[in-house]
Amino acid sequence: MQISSQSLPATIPIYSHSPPDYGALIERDRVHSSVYTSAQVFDEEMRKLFYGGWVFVGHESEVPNANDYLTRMLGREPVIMVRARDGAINVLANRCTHRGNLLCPREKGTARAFTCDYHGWTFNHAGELAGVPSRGGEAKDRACLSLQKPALVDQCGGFVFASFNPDAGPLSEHLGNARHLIERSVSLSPTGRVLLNAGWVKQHFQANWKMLPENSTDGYHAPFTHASFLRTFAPNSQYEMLTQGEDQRRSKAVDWGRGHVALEHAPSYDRPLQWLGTTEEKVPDYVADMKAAYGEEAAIKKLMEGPVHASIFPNLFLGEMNVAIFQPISVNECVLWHTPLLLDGVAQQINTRIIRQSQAAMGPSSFLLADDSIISERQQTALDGRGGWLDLSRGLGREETHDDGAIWGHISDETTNRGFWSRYLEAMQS
Amino acid sequence: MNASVIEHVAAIPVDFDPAKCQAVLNFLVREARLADESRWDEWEALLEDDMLYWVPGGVPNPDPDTTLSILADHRARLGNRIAQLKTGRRLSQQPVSPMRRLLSNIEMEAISDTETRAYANFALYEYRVQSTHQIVQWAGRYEYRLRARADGSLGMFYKRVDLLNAAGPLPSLAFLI
Repeated sequence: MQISSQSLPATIPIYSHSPPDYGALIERDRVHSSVYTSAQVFDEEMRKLFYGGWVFVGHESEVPNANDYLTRMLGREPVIMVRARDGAINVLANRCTHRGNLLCPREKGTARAFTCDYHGWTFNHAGELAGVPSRGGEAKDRACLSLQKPALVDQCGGFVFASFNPDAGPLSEHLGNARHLIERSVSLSPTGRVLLNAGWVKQHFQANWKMLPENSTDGYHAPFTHASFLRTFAPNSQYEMLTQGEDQRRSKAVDWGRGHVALEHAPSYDRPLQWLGTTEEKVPDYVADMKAAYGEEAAIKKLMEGPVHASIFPNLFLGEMNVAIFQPISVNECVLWHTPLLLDGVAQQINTRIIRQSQAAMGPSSFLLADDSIISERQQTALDGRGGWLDLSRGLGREETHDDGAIWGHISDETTNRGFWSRYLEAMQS
Repeated sequence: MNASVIEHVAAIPVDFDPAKCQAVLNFLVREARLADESRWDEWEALLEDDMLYWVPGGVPNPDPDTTLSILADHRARLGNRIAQLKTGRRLSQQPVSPMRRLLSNIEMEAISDTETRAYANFALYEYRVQSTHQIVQWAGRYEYRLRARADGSLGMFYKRVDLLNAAGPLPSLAFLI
């Protein structure tokens, strides 16, 4: 095991004509602060990660009916996700091909077609130019004026992903082991469908976006950053495990490969539904429906293991019964979106519980994330000057690689962040 | 229900008991000052047991049970929120934000003989002393529901905060808004 020297104060120019040498900035056990502070690195991340790879766009349940649409940002690229009349979900660049106007300014709605407010050009759900006012002046074949769109769009468990790069490979290859993580959370619904329809709350961070995936799967910080939460809430709750000593913790930090990383809490649960803070006796209908859907044994296993706590590279987070999006704005600004992972086919009382837990954990007024954003903002302040190295070595000496390639570490180890940076380095060097 | 609505403090209708109106105004100003100054125990003493403290998310027709709120605290959770602030380890309010809020365009109506509903526009200036050292402006509308207590004072059993930018990205909001 090679541990880097802590002495080298590398300095990286703010902007140069040649790309940074990422291999010199990201090592196995440390990462240089300039990847959080360089505008050039940020621009390259947009190009290589957000336009060159697969990114999460939205969930099919957000556009349940034909003509339903939503708008999002993929990196800095505005897009529309629309349910076409044949039921297919299309992703289109949200930019009129005439004069570049933002075609659809609303966050969501219903539209049979998209008409630009500037000169009235109309595009159908496939992005084809379908109408132009004052046709006499048309001088170009409409076929070359379709909306741009991602080359690839695919789904897993209703989660829609897209890539602007035709050579990004299939989604299944990008997801790898993460497919099972998504499927595990989705299968907590007796119908196998989750609903992201309670609305999103967005939390602003004056910090680099990569602190979101890093912090989301950092199993080391809770007793310190969240000491006030644990002191107030942990006794007799599902959060009690966070107060255990290093030797008592049973949860694990897992690098599933390809930048997808997780905190695995299933080993900490002693009974079904502990993750939901309830018991089989209190929600008998849910338990019965799960058994009917999946069989007795499989249902109990699902209710025992609970949802995943996983970051899906680069911008999706399945945070137990929350779904979150990491949205970069600029090198020192980002937004964390979250919505509860509601279950189709369960009583409203269960989904209300999930909503209440979501409000407790995530968002600007939550008992947890409100404090994380302060830490991220302080980090950004601390890194913005001369900078230096950030250590990633914790647990390098005690993690295990399993047969499927996944690396398992102690819950407090930086196995997860090393997994993120390893994929990041590979993508940025490609 | 004998509801009397006033458009502005200067326009108290004659059928609305001026003493009652003044008591409500005094309550709103005091509640705002206690929140501004992070005087949590005194603020908490204003609450009734059936309190709902609610900041809806930016969705149409918000509902605390079926849509995601920024926060929706019943009395017990609000007690926990205050207990967390009082640990001295709530990083997002460590140190507490210096704040001042202005209330205006106050309207009130009687819910019953003992209960009053009031509305106010607010502008709140928060100095984010914990991290960015910038002033953040919060703005929106408050709805309060107040109940006369046995001793003649008022207690609060509902406070709804509709932020103008509830649908937009919000920085840490861990203080009492």
